[in-house]
Amino acid sequence: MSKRERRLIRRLQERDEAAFREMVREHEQQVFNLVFRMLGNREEAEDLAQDVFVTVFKSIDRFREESRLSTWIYRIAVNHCKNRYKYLARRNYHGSASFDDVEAREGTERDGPAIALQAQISAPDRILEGKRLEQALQRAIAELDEDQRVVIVLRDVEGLTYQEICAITDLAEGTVKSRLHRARMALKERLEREQ
Amino acid sequence: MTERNRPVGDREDRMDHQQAKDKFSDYYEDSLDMQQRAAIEAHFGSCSECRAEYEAFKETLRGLSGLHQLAQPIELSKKVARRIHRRSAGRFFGDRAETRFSFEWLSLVVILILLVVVFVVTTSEKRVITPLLPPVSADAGVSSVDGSSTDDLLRHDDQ
Ligand SMILES: [Zn+2]
Repeated sequence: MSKRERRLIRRLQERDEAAFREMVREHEQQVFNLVFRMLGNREEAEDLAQDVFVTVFKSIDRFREESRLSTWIYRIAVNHCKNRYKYLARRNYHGSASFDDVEAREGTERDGPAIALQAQISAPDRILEGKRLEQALQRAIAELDEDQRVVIVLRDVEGLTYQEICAITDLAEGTVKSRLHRARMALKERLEREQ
Repeated sequence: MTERNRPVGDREDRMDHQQAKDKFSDYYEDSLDMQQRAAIEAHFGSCSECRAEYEAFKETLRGLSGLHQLAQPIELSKKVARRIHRRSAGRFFGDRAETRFSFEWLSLVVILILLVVVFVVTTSEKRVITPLLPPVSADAGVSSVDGSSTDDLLRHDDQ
């Protein structure tokens, strides 16, 4: 842990509001990306990401400096996602129902970033294909079981190391790897079925 | 033939379809040892089904890493501050918190201006008053020690 991070944590523990704003700005994008990919709905994700930071503010005293602050925040985010799944399941919510907004959104302001995903595939109509792939992937992720979803988003979307994923999920590396492999195979099969 | 110099691709080293599929992730992440890597590559060489399936596997993973680049920009700090303010019944992140810095500086500036004004007024008054005072200034000295103000002196002179 860097000196700067340690100082930031001290200030957070003293309930320094400027430090808190600084911390939110530093981690909001990662937290939002993670919960958005886990929940598949922007509104839900924005709401949940805010709750994650409220929990960080409330429980910063409990943060043991054994891991990086970002790892601890991810951990809180994953727990929040799991609780939200349960809540949404009780309300009979289907994440995939909200994926239509991906298309509407992308049709306007998001052609630029869609090209990034497009660079990865070799279809002729690259942008359209990229949007379809994003929707298909998001739908397929939503169909995975919760434990598989966590590891695949952390590893393959967010690009975290196995060490970080183990710290976030409290799982042994072997468990993470076998769960991840099953998740990847399941995702591949779902995408193949769609095509 | 010993275990050590048995050539790769020998019967016992061959993978069946399921064994090959089980190794897709390790092969993708390049975490297989040389022997296993050679075995899976040998299987791909002879099995178009697994080769095609591995291509689809790789495409899926490339697509997933592409999702990261599609991140939508987000700005949460103000919303989070408002949420904490509400849930803490106003204890944290009140409106003043945001303006405290400028309020403190403003107060300091106002105090400094007042001090300067008081200083300027009192010194200019003295300058005007001095020639009007009686030649013996001891009275003034005494009166100022016992707390008489310049106003008293001025009133005294007016009479
Ligand atoms: Zn095969």
